[in-house]
Amino acid sequence: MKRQYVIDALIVLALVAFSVFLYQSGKGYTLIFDNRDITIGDTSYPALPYIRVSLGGVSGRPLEIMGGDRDMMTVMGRKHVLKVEILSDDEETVTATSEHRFVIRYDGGNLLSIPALLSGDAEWNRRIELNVAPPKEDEAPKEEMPGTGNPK
Amino acid sequence: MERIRSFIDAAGWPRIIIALFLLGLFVVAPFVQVRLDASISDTLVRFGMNGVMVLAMVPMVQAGCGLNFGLPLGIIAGLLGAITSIELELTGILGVLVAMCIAIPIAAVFGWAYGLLLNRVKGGEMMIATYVGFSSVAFMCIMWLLLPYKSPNMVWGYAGTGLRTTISVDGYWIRAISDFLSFQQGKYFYFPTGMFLFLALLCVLMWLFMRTKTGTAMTTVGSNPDYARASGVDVDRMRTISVILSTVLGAIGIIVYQQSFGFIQLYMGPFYMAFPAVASILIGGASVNKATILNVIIGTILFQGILTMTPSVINSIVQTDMSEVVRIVVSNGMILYALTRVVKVKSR
Amino acid sequence: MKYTLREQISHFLVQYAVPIIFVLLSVFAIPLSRFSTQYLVQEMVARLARDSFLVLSLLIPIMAGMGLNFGMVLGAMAGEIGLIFITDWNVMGIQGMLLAMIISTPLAIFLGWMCGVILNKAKGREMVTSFILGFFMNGVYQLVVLYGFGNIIPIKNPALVLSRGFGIRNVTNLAGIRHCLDDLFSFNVMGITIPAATFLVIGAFCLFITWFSRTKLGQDMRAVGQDQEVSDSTGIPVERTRIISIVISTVLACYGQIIFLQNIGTMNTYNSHEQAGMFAIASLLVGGASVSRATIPNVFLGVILFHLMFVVSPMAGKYLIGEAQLGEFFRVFVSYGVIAIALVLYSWRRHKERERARRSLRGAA
Repeated sequence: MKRQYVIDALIVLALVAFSVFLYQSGKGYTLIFDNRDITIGDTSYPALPYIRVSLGGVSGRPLEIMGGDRDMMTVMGRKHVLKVEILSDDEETVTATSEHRFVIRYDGGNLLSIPALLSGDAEWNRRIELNVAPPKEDEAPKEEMPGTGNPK
Repeated sequence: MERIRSFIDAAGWPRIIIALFLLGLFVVAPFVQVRLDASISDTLVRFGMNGVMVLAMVPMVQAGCGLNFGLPLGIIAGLLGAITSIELELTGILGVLVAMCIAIPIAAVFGWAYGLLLNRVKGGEMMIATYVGFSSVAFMCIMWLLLPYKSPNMVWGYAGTGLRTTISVDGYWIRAISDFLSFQQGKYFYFPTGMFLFLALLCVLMWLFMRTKTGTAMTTVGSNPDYARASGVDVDRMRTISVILSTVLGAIGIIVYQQSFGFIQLYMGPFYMAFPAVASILIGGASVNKATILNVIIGTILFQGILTMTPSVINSIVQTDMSEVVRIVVSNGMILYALTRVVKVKSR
Repeated sequence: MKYTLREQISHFLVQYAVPIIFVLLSVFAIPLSRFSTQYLVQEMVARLARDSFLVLSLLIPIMAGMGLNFGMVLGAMAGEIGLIFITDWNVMGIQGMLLAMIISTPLAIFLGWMCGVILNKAKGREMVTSFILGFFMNGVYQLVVLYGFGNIIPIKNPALVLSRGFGIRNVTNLAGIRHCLDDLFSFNVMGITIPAATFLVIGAFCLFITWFSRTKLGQDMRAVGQDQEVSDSTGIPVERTRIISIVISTVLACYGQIIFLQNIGTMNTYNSHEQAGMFAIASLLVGGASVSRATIPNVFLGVILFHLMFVVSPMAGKYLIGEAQLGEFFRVFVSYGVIAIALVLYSWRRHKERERARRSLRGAA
């Protein structure tokens, strides 16, 4: 009888641990890669003319960002390897490549300033409020006619 | 103390809770700027509107056929009568009477066929009744589109065919029964005397019927089928009569409802209409195999009272409309309670 | 006892009346609808992946003699609550789906247990009771989700919550887990996408049911389904066995609903579960199952036939009579009608058997 309790407790613990793992690895983050002039503290970092960023392990196309522009990506999990390639003016050849391991800092929106990152500023990952406009449609549930719906 | 306990046992906790809840709503109402006279008037009107459909439950329960979840079948007969009466451009009390005269034979035929079906599926009546109701409503959806009614007040304007989802009876026979001897007290209190007289008439007729030879035989069939069979009562015939009676009352009930409500609702309108009626009679103290006219009256007042009071009172307290949830929980909770109370299945 | 060929044929026709009618209807309606074969095959593959799991969850209570488990909507509700949470936390992909399953499992077990206890109090009328229980719990679900969420239970994602500050919106967007299982690995055969991972899960589930029916518990369930009094006298805990069958069914319905919704990608917060129950039951019956006997082939045949009719009938109605609405109503009628017919056939047979038993009893006395 007692042994059964121990086994049950272990199963529940294993499930809880698994859930934590799923939560950590499955949580989605919105990353905004920023290639604009930026001032952090007293230092200013100028934007780069043309870069290409990609995250290791995350499928999806790499983002190519012009100077003064930004682009967005949704990723799962906190830990990533960010690969930054600086492109030449003809937008064809790669002039420099660097890889950075990092841990996403904030829930919700993260603003990643590439110029600050390349200059080694620790404050390159900043928080940003995403203005999700909630969908405007319905209020309380409508009384839907029974059975008239489509089975999907 | 002993008396209180036996009363609680007899009435059952859910009923007492519902009654106290309603009482509470009436007590609180004046404090949250809800007019009592208007509320009581609303409750009375809704009581009159729904009473006949609740009364329709009585014969089938008494004959042991269970709760009539197949009420939509009778409602459809009533709808056919109502739209035919409008098609004939009849107004006033004549319109209502003609609607009923057309609806009753249709309901009798439907009820007869439905009764024959239920006699072959003893023990599983309620589930089958539900789905017979559902599928007949769905079938009539097709018919409402195809039936050759022409009155411009009822068909879709642009196509010229196919009945509308809601048809107004304004200008035909709105409140034709209700307004008979009705009176208005002040601005908010309206008393639909005619509707009550009509309901009372039907209740008395039902009461008398239950005391005739056929009526007592029917009750015997419900309470003790083996004894009934042994004493030479034709069980299947009694059951069929009860189903016909219930279906006819359903047809009359919906016409009474419409003349007060002012609209005829077609298509999916009748779909769930059996559930409030079933819940009402159960709240009134009926069980799955025993129901009286007193159950009908108490139950309809309690249930309709809650439906009237919750939106206004609860809304002014918590600023949100919770009436829909209260309705779902109360009505289905009551049905669930009744279904789990009866330990043995009677019709063996 | 030997049956003649004629008797065998008539027995076959009676037993498979509903599927035969559906095959005939489809044969008639497919050419009318003018859909291409390619399109229809793709639709059917997608719908098989989407719906089979939900329908399979109905099998175990039938085995235990409790009829069609209309209470499966309770499981579907539990699954939806899990999905609301992972959407709020923004957990995506297959991880999100698994997490939703883990969260909703205890809830589904609890609801299933409750349903089982209530059904034990209503023996002989399990179906109507579970049917009403579904409605009742729908009210409770609304109370919790429409008034409790964002109020007592914190929800931080503003896109989920109604503008009044609490309660979940009518439509919950499940973009984060959309197709996560279907696309885990899928392949193309002649231009038709086959979501292999989903079918693997369904296949594993079929194996589970086959294995389960051979275990001691499964055998007990069959025995309880045959005759409760006899099982009780042989020492089988009847009530407990019945509760377990309902719990299993509820939990599986919960997973089925999650698999269903990951394919759809959006959730009608207050309607999805109601429809799940009705369409699953109708599909199973269309596949030739009865209230007391259902097999795995019934499930797949049923899903294909039922959904074929559903896809085809509005267009067929449109081209035949020029009114798509008519086809819509027709399929609603058919789905309720099928359930009605199956229930009637079952009760009729049972009624006849009882009459025969009573007559033989009287003859002996």
